[in-house]
Amino acid sequence: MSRKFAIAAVLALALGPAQSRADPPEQAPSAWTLDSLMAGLQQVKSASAHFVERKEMAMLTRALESTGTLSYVAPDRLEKITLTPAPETVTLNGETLSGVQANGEHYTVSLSERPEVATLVEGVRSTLAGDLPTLRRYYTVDFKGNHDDWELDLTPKNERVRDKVEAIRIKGAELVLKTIDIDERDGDRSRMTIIPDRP
Amino acid sequence: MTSRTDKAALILWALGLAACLALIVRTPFTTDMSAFLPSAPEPAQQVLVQQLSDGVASRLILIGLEEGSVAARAEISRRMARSLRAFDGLVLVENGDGSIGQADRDYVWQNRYLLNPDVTAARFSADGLRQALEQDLQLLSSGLEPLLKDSLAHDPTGEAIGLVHVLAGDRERRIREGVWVSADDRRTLLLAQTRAPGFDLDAQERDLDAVRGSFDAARATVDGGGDVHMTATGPGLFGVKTRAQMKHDVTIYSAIASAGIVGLLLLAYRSLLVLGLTMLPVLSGALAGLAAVSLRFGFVHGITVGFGVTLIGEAVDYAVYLFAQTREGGGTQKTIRRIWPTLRLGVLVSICGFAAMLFSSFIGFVQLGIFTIVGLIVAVCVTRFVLPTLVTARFAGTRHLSFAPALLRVAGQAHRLRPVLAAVLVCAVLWIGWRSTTLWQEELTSMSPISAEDQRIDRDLRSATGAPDVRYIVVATAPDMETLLQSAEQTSAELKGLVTRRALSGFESPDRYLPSRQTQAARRAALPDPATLRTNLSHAADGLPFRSEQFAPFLDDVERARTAPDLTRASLEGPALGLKLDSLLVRQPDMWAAVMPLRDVADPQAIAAGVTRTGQAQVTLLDLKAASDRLLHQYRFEAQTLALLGLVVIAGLLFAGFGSAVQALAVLAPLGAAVIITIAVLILGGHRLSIFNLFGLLLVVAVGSNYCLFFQRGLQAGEEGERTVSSLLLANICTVLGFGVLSLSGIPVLFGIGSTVAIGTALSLVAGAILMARTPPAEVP
Repeated sequence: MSRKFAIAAVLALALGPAQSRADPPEQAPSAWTLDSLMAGLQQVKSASAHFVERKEMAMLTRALESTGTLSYVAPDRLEKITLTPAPETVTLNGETLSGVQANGEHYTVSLSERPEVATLVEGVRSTLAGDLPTLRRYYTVDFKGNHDDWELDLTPKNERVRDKVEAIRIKGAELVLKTIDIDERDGDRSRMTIIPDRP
Repeated sequence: MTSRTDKAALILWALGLAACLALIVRTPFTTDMSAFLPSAPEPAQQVLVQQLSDGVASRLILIGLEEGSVAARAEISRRMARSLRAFDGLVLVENGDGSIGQADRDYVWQNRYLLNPDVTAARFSADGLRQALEQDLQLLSSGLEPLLKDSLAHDPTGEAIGLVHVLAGDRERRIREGVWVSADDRRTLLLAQTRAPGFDLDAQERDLDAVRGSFDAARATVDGGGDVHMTATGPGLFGVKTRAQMKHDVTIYSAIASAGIVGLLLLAYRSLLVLGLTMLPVLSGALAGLAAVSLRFGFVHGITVGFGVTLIGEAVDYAVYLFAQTREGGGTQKTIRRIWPTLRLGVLVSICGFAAMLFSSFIGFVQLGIFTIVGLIVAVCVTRFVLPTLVTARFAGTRHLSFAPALLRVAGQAHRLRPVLAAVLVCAVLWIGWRSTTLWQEELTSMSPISAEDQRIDRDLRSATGAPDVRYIVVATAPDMETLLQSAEQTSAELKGLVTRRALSGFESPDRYLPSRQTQAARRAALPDPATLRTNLSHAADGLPFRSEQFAPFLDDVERARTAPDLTRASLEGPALGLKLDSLLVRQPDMWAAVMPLRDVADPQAIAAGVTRTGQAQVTLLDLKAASDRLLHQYRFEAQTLALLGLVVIAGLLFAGFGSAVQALAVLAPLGAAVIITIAVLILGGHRLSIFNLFGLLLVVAVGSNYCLFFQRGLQAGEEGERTVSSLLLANICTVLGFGVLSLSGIPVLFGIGSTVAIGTALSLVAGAILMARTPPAEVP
């Protein structure tokens, strides 16, 4: 019970980072592909898209579906505006995560104070920014596929996050992200499908 | 050729010394500064004095790590916290790494329904639950859902999250690299709370050594740690520093003074034996004084020893008078019989001066009073009955000083300076009158020996850590714990409103950790019975996608809370929160007091008005600075009154001793003139008088009266007069040397007493000579 409480307190408490373990020696991924993907993503200065997110959870009788827009401005601004079922805005700017909930409540979270939160948001942002060093700070990165159909498998390094999240899988083609899957340890899962806005 | 009585005196003296020594070796010596806090103030002041000496604020050590890389500082912070948490002297070490004890987490989690002020019946109605569930659903669709969802089944209304500030304190902390840093990132911060009260300087010193040791060890083992510096502050640290500086200054300056005095006496006596004998009355007096204090109190304070010996330094003069006034081959027995009446009266006058301390509210000063009175009596008795016996056989008298005749001529002509003295006196009185409104030091802090640099570090670290305001606290008192917690709750509600109005930024209150029984009962009553809760929940969940069995743990937890016994102080045995609670509660003989530390007080008037509005007459905003200044004022008034009373008694004693107003005035007039001119000199350049100057003046009267008594008898022509006047000069030079050196210290108490006594006794000697009767009267019987 108290373990669960500890998790609940994660957000509001300044809990320190779990001891980061030494990286397992990574198999040098086909360096050419991951590096060139990252180098390519670094060139993208801004992007916007619509998304559909679907979560399947054991505690719910049906899947939760939400829709909205995503926008990214290099190097570190990412905004997620949920339109349905209830309006909500979350903005990640530098090291601050801030948001407005449907009931109008504002909140801000400092990433350096919440390593678990940082882990979750950096998975997407560092990928968009092509920032491999940051990505590797939080995840063991596994890359497969080719130029037109690639997949990044991210395994959290933070123990407390790894207890919850098995892996984040990002699939894409060229320099565009197509889906983000999150597989949780307890079997819950979510998939965000991204539909890029064509300029 | 010693008589039977002389022999008896010697034996008595030797036995007495042995007894004193035997007693002293069994006496505990303390450095606990609370002995110098008043012993029996009023109830309201008890809390104040307790807060000054033993409050939470007095137990804090604020630590800042500066320079070096953020990462190196963070690693040092973590290692320090790890080693200091294992150290017994510290009850709490916070560095922002979130290492909150499991026991504390369990306490808050298990008792969340009793602890959370948001627990109301509306929250558990179908509507309230509906609102909570909708929010939960939204949480689940957020990206942070993996971190949040596990507690939902137990706590869909989020009571535990609402209590996070109970564990973490309600201040916003900035975390970098996993540990606490200041808002400008320049410092990595740690905060430790000592087990021992702030006035227990031995314990504080040990705790600070542990902090320093852990820093040094961490710095040496962390990469790049060499660049990191530590600053620390806190009342205990100030106390330890002050004591160390005091010890240092007293040791250095009394060594210098002793060397000077010994050199001077050797020059005058040319005999090591006589020098040793000169010290005998003081040493005997000091031992007897210590023994007397030990008998009365069972312990002796370090300061009593340090200052007591200084105060009875006047006893060196007794031996000086005896030896310097004995002609070669003249025999000390004859001298002692001649000077005894003067000496006796002088000692009585000194005792009257020191007796003022016996009535002080400070145990420390009462100890000093007993020490000096017993010490002087024994010293003068040793001078009278033991010294002459010890030296009769061998003592050849002191050298006749070559400048003595000239000195006597000067003394004989001193009366010509009477108009000058009168003019100076008039100027002094006018000057004091002109300054009468700004004569006294009114602020306790201005008497603090803390350096400006240390005060700056203290200000910086205090604002960086958000440590409680040292000046303002809210204090609630009540006859019992339950009433106390109830008024703390009402006050908390009021303060919460004041926080939103920015009168302060935060506060601590005991009811946060332990609500009153009344409130616990109200919160328990707000929880519906299982059947109702189940119905409410199913209404609330209607149309929402939660599985019906999902919230079974919630139903169980609420039922457990509803039927749980009241939380009491005993429920907090174990968790560190219990220590926090204890530090906010003060047990008094017939009442309880709650101390509510405040942070960043911006509008004390609003807070004072606010806590009054709660309608609790026993809740007040305490301004520690104003209150301690008031307390100081009161002590000074007490000291002044006692000093004046002492003067009246001394005057009465002199009248009684001489049976003549003229003769008594002959002693009092030069003494009075010396005191007045001394005050005028001390307040030159805008300085203000402190309570230490007042004690210095007491000493001036005690020592100076001896000179004036000798002058009052007049000086015989020839060798006897020459010896008398040179013995007075010798005694005075010893005193000026001893105290003058003390005035070199930067510590207010040493400087205050040192400068006052050096100036005052020299002036007493000069004024005594100037006002001496011009025709020597017949030998005093």
